[in-house]
Amino acid sequence: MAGVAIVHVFLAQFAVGGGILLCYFQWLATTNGQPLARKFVAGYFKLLVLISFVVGALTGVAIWLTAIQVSPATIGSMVDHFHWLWATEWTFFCLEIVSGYCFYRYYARLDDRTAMTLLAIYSAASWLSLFVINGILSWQLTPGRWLETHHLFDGFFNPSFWPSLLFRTVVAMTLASLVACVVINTMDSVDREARTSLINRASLLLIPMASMPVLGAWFLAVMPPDSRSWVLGGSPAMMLFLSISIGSSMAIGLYAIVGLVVQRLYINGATASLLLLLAFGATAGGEFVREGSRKPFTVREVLYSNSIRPDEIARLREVGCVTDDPYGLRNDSQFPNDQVRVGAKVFRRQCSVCHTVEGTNALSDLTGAWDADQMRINFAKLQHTKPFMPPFAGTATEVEALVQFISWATAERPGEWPVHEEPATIAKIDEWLREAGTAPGDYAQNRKRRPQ
Amino acid sequence: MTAFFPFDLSSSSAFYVIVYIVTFALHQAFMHYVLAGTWFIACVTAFRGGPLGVNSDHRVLDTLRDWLPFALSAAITAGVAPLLFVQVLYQHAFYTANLLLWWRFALIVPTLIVAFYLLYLIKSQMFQRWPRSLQAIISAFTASLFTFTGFCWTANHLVGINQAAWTEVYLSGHLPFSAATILLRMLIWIAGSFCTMPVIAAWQVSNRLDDSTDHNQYVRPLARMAIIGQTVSLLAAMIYLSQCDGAARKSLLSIAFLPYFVFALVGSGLFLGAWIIAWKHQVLQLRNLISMTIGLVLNLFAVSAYREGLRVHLLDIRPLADKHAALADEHGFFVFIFASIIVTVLIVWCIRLVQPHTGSAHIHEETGATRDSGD
Repeated sequence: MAGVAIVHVFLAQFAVGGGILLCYFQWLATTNGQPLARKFVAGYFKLLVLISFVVGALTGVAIWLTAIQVSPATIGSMVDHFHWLWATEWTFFCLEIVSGYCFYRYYARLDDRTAMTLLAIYSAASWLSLFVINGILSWQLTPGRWLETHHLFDGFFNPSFWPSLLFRTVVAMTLASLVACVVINTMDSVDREARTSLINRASLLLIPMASMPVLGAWFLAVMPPDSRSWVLGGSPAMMLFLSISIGSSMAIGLYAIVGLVVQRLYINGATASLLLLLAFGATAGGEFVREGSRKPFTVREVLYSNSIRPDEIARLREVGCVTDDPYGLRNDSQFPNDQVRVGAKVFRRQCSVCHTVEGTNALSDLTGAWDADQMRINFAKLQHTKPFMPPFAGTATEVEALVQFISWATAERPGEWPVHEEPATIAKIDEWLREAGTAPGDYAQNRKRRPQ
Repeated sequence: MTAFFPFDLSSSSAFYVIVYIVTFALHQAFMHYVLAGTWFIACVTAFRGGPLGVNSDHRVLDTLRDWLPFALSAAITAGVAPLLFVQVLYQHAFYTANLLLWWRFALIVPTLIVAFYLLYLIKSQMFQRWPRSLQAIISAFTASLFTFTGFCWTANHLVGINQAAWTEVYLSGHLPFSAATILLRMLIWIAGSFCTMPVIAAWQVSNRLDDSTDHNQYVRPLARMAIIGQTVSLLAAMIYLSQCDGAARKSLLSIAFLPYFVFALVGSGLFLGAWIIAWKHQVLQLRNLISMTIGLVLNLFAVSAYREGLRVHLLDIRPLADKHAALADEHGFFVFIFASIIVTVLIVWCIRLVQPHTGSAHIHEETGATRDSGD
């Protein structure tokens, strides 16, 4: 899902920024401020149609399909609350493609005023679609007052809505400008001086990058404190991706503002492509951080990453998380006993959305140095083991079953495996579960305990 | 099920069913154009006109090549709305079908990306200079990709309505329907696509015909496709109905579905009547175009209603009534209505802005005169 989302966000933001850029160039054409503006607009829009209208649109659908695979409860919750705004976004998509194709098809025959009108409509429609989806996505991290009021617009215009929208708009303009630098370099019939002039014009859309540090800081400031702590050091992976994003953006920004805007340098196709690749890296890093910083939730205080609601934890601690699971296990005969089977089901229910058994983010690796007792206490007190993990949502018996399943898998899945059902062990796990409670982990609890 | 509408559903559930059907019908119109259009191109290229009597420089062929990329973009965009509302309506059933099918369903994304670029290739002048056999292969391959996409959606639908089979599908990976079932369903909508495409193509082509043009070369091929498409689609639907289980068939033949049966009957009559008249007079008259369009819309609506009625019967979404009522209370509906009105006005404005530059003749007006039969 991450891969699909990153590609889609990159292309969609390119489309949004492309509209803004082309409005500017069409204005230049209208005012005769740039003799090659029309030629550039025609070539650039063709690229927009061939890439963004195709791969951009279809990766958007792909996000939906992959999001269903990862967490249908999350996408279902978003659809439940925001379907009318999502339908509104759909109307903007319709306007985008009609205005876009009208422009693409008839541009050569249009007068400047008509061309400008179509571009303005296209640009407005694409930005409005960003406006809508930004509200829905940012709600996941910072639902804000929606948690009390459940009013649509409290959720939509949530604390991170504005910094996120403005940041994405700046990113959109940046991507469009960098693509323009690449496109201009493909205009072989145009001499270098003319290409330099076009590049200088296109690079003006890189100036807003100067606001990124402020917008980024604003976004960090409105993040929930624990989410902020993950990206600022609490999670090495997230901090790494944030660093990649910031570093790439800085490299682009410095080159853009100092080199292209101030010194009005020429940039060749290779350099422009490299900057675009850096921008892709920055986008990828940023999206990873945005998604990861929601942990342990997918919708803050509404739904955990494993699609279990906070208000379900207590009940599942009593009845078990797999008691009513109607689905059997594939390759059932490989499991040596029913306890390991239950453990496999618990893994499937609570862990598999983020972890594998043996592979990426594998539990067999993460628990490789833990003995059985370590696993028992860490699973029972999961939200305290790592505060970006959700509380364990099952019985003590299910904790033990999970321990046995992971141990068995780590031992390379032998054909026989003893059943561990010592009442004292189960009682101890139960005690740990009660000590842990059902609330999410508090990353600052030890700081709060320090004597003043 | 006793109530013809809203299928014994609560008003909120019925409201979402209507919204879903309307948006799904819009998506279908574009999707049919793309599917039938690519198969039409493939057949004409492969068989040098063949039974349709269409040669390679036929205006319908040119029009299809020209408009298919936009039509696909429109189909994908129009498909977002029913994709949204099907989740609102069926929730668990829709998500389960997706989870069970996973990559087998997700293949539609790379399939459509490839197909999209192939449509642009087919549109290009370069493609038309390639050997005919290569053109035919690529066109047929493109059409196959769209057919495969439709197959994936049909499979998704059939898995979703077969709750009893979900655990078995998960364990075995085997899909809970026979080849005959899926082939029949696909035949209904593939044949149906050859009803929709000729109507749209007729509007497109007749817009550029004048009195000096031989209308016969356009009318008869389109009429042939439409009449055969309608007949095959209806036959396939009747066979499919005969193979449904007893309870479902009883429901579909009950008084609850009488209005939709009437829509289908009237729609088919208008549709076939208009095309037969067009065939006989060998001209695309405005009156006929309007008549066949109304017939098509009625048919699309009737088929969609039957499809949804069957799904509602099999899944029994009445327990979701409270959930749908709560969802209907979510704010934002008036934002959607307001945006729809503004967007519609702007879309019309965009079209009007470029209309002076689209070129060519107006629709042939009704003259009352007939032409000599060419056949």
